[in-house]
Amino acid sequence: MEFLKLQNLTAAYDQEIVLKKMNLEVKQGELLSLLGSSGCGKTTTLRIVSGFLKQREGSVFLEGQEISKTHPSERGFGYVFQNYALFPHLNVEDNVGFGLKQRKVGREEINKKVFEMLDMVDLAAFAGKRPLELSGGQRQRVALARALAISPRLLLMDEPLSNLDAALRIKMRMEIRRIQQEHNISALYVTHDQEECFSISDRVAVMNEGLIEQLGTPEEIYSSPATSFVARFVGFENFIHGILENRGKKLWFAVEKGGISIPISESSIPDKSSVVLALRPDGLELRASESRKKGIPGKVKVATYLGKGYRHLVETELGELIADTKDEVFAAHTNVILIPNSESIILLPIKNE
Amino acid sequence: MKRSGLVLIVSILLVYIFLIGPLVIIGFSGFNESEFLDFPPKVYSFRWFFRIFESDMFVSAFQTSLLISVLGATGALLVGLPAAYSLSRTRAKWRRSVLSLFMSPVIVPGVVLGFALLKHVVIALDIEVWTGMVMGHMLIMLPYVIRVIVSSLSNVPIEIEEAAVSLGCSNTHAFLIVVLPNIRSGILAACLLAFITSLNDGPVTIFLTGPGVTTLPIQMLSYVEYYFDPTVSALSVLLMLLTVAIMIVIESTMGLSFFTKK
Repeated sequence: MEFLKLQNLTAAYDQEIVLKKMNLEVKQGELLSLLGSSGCGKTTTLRIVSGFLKQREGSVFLEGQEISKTHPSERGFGYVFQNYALFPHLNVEDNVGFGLKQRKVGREEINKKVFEMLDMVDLAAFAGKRPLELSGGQRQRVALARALAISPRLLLMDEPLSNLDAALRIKMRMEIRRIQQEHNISALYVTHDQEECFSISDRVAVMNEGLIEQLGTPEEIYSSPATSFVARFVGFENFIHGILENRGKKLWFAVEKGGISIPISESSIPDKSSVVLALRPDGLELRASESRKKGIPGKVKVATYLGKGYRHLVETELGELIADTKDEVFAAHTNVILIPNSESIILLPIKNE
Repeated sequence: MKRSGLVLIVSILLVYIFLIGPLVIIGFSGFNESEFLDFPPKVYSFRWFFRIFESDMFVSAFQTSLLISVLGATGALLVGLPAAYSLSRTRAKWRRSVLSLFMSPVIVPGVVLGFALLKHVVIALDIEVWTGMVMGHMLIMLPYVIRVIVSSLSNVPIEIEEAAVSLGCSNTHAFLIVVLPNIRSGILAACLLAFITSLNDGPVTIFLTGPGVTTLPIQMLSYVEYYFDPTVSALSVLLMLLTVAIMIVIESTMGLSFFTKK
């Protein structure tokens, strides 16, 4: 049986619908991320699970039990807020022990648990400090320790790293992942950062306009996005509209104008359908136009240095395409040929809306 | 120096002279030995200060003032704290209008407010003098209480309450043990500010006084109608000192920034 189950969740602020009959299941001990840009409904989902927001329709089940009517204080979930929400008038020790105190746990037991938590986040030396005396990363760790001290049935995290600087974010996400796996914690994690999300999750739900666009492991989503929205989120920059054609033995992707065809290895999409061909910038090989290779002719508009290579914006008859090279750079106004790497190509159905 | 700079300095000086000048004159004349209010005094003494405490009418008026201010402040806090809390937590469209409504007793001239209260509340509903007085003072204190507490609550994000609730607190309990300790200095500042407003009020109070119930400012007003000795000047010095002391306490607990904050 699934651990947490969201069934047909619909939510709205005033007239604006932010969740549309959403379904999702989280397994025991799994960290599932909700990934999407702002306004996609990811935080709304988290707030409904926590109980701070009432859904308009649908139910939330925890281990088979409907909890929609349970007060947030009785759900026993740990919540880590974006702004940490530490209690400014209490020191670190009392912040972490707060939940246990509410549960009328004995003083000695609280003390033991608090220091166990503080050891876990490596902050035992800071027990007597006030939140204002701590750095951002330390506050973040206190917030995590406070949420975990109550041994929550489910840990909810709302963009917990977005207020930290880049280096600290990477360190902290490994830390969160380590603690979550060591203690086998079931968690729901909200973020808009694709890299952070993939590095930390067992599974990812990519959300867009109140719906889940794709649900899968980070690897599945990275290598085979199901929609152009997801593809864009995981680094696909080039999208070309065209038709799938079966010409004898081979499958071809044909662009309506310009007569350009690109060979396709295989596809489950039926013949003659309109599709979108998606490619990452490194899936387009860039050659000087003198080479005899077949491809998409174009002219470099601008080239920028990325560190690991160069990125080119190329003007073609299919529109502007982005192509990366490892060490060769083509200056602006150079005529080039773009050769799609057939193994990097992804074909996406066109949404019928 | 530029001409505009000179004009600015002259006007600032004039403003200060007109603002502070009368206070300086009153201050000096309170220390006058003579029986009459004249300035500058020829001989200085504290005799009029002692006179205040010997005079029963000032002492009892001051006691009445204190009682009314304390009762009114308590009432204003009981109404103002929940109001300020809801106002700072709601995202509803009517938030601004309601906030302005609560601020209106500051905008309406005191004389108008006092007269309206007397005619349409105290007389119309046949309310006893003491009750009417406390109600009136509660009304003039409410805007200050709400303003200061709303400003103080803006530093306490709602997530802090939600964190407490997620850790097992009921909503009320979360307010009491998480929100309240963090707005303590705001509440103190609100009460003190309301207190001095009420203590110094004349225009509203004058309509609400009745037999045997009079506050210090009103007593001072009626005293100067008949006497010209420096007692009232001496008393003014004491009131100014009290106000300054309270303002210093407010500034050191939470600052006066709430006057300028939205």
